[in-house]
Amino acid sequence: MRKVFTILKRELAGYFATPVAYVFIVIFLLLSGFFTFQLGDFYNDGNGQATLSGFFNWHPWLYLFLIPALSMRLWAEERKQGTIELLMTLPITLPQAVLGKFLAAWLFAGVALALTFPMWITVNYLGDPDNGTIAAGFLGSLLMSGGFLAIGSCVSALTKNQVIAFVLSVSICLVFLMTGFTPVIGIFSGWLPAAVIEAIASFSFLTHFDGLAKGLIEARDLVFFASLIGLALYANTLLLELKKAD
Amino acid sequence: MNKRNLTWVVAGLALVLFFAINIAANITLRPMRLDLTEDKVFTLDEGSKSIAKGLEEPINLYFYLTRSVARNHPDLLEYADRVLGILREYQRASGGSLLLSVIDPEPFSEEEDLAVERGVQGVTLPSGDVLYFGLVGTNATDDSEAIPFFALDPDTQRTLEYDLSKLVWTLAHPNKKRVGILTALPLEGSGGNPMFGQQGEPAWRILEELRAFFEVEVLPTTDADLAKIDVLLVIHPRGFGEETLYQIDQWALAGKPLIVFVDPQCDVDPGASDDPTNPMSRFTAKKDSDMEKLFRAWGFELAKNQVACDRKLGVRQTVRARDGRSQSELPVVFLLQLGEDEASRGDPITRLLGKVGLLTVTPGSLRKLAEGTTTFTPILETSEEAKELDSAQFQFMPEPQQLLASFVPDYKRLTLGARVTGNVQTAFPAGKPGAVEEPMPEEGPADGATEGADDGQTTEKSPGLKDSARPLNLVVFSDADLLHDRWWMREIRIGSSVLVQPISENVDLLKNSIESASGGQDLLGIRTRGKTSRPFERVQEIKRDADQRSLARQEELERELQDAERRLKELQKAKSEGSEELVTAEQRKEEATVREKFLQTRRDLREVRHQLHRDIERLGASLKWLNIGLVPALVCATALLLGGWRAQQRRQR
Repeated sequence: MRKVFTILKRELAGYFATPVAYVFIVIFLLLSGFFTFQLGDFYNDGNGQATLSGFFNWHPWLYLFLIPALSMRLWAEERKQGTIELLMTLPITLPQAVLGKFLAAWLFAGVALALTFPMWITVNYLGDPDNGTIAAGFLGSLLMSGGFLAIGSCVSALTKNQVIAFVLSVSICLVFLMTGFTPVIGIFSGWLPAAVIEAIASFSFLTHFDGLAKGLIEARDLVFFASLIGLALYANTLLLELKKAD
Repeated sequence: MNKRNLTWVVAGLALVLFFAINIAANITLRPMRLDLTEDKVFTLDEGSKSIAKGLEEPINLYFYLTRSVARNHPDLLEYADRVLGILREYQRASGGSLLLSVIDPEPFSEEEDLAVERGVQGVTLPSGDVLYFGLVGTNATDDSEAIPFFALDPDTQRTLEYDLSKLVWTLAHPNKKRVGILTALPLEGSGGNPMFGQQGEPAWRILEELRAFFEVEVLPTTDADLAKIDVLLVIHPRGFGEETLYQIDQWALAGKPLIVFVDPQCDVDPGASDDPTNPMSRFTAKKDSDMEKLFRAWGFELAKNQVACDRKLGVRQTVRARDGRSQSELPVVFLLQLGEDEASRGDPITRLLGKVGLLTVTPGSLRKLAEGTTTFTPILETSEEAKELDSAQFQFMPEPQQLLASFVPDYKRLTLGARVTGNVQTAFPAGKPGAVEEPMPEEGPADGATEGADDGQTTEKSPGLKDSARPLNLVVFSDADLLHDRWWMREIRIGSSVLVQPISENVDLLKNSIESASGGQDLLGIRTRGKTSRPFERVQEIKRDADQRSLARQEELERELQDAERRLKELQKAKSEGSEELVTAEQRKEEATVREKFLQTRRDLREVRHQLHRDIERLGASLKWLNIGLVPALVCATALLLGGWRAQQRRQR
């Protein structure tokens, strides 16, 4: 675990050594604020509601593009620059490296999410929101970002090209969103049995995140995100092993 | 198998494992959850759990939802899942007594026909699709209850769990409670007296309302047979004889459900007049009721000849001044509208009230006696701006203006309704009135009153209860008028049919009292859930402040505007009357000044109105910029500072 922590620290320091990290945070904050206030009309000339649902609703779509941008360089860059060979010579195992890199990225995404705290202050200043629901919403958002990141990290190990990693990650994550997106489900409802549709929807980020954002933490939501992260990171390790063998 | 192939196999297995775990979790882990919402909207209430656990015979629930249609309406689907969630929780809590079937009625199917037959209502949406979203329950004796359609409006959503539990409870308790009423009021209508031009009165509609839920019988006020009833309702006990009071006393000592409405001034009471031939006698007739003797024994009193008045809760009415010319809108201090703030949130009777409010006219004031040993819990109170006024003032057409003008509140809440429990002693220590001579009366005293007491202490021959066999189970209110049609309903005529539309929740107050007192405690213990509206209180505050500030200025400007207008008219009139030559330059100048002032005032008035919204807009804009821009700016600043510092470090090295 200490080795994982070492990797985590090295990675995190790496983020803040370049302007990339700051640009990422600034874009995330600007977009989430802009979407909430302008597109979601949160304030609505003072007639809005003291909830953050309009804020959390945008998170899956923000993550869809921002998280792959964060994760694309995780392994692709190492491989392109050949630093991965260096990493392999260190006295750490591959799973430790994968986990360390992932946790660093996740922590970083968490920092970006935490920096949206003015929204929480705002809604408490304006009215009397349900803070339990808001807490669950933040937890859900964090878990979802972990899911996106794990997929992105896995995809990044596939290629040396960061652009390909980005596009591929966005595509895969989009599938995980769309399977739970009501308008999409509506299209399929005509020719698939309801049980099948429900089963497919149960593998969507949206299905699990929506429940959390409403204030209900269900064990199956936690299992979903944990197993997804676990699977993606495991696949990530396998891929790296394979590439190493090449 | 080479390493590459093995890796693919392992990866495939991991993927299968992932799907398997999640499908299993979806099925088995549903009960494991943590409800973080403030109102615990996803958790079943204790009352519901207790109803579910107490089911003795199986109850079938059929939940109807046209999922294919609902799927296109996310809000509806979400609500449907919540309903289904509660039903599933219910099913789990019942330990198998409650059987839930989820039915998706396809169009033109047998299931659709059955749904309609059972009382579920299909709603045709603008798209032309028919949506079924209802619930039917049946019990072992084939009674059927239905919620035809789960309406989506927020207020109905709030009482969802109560509605579901009520359906289950009603099926579990198919026998209606029997309610006996002792009253001095003509609840069943009166024949009138055509000789003196008196018209007959129709029966009070409240009886009809109650009969939908209970078996209701208006009992004679002397020698009533209380053996056959479950709940005793005493309404305006004016002039009740000692024997009747003794019956009530015995009933209360047995701990049976008792609900009392007394009134210091009951306007709908025709009154006890000595001379029915004298039309004026109805103005002097006695219209108050009390059960002082019993109340004292139960540890409280009704303030004698006092009416509870309230300045804040007074219903605003347009009142014509005494001279008949001017009229103004002012609160009528003896006609009170009670809302959420006046009803106890903790008591099942009043907990669900408050949406529409209660209307009460000339209520009395209930007080706990210092020496009382019972637990006296107010459930309905006035606001702080209340005062007791002498009831004599209300005997004959009280003047709202005068009452308001001389009204000085005592800044103390007065009790209008209370729940009283605890052990009490009889108000008739000497035994049954009129039977004092016989130490062991042949007939059981107060016939039925004690028969039902199942403690075995009382027998046919017992001399009556001296102390509580079971704790007092009393709910008391200080107004009887509120049960009259006038104060809770209005008739709407559509074609030839007449609909009753409630204007207050007075009937619910009575219904809740009966249900609560007669044992449906679980049902009434269920909370309303989910604060439906969370407005920006800060913005409302700004609005209120702005309103208050601008109102004075607006009035002032409007007065100025009127003055200017009048002055302008006068000048124009003078101009048309007098000859053109007589209009001096000075007059012309004045006209121009007034005209200018007129326009200026209008501009100012507009400005005042605009100012109202500007503060709100400004707050919105500031919050927007703070949220979108502040933290990113800080992050940028940090990055620049750090970058600069690092560059400097490098140079130094």
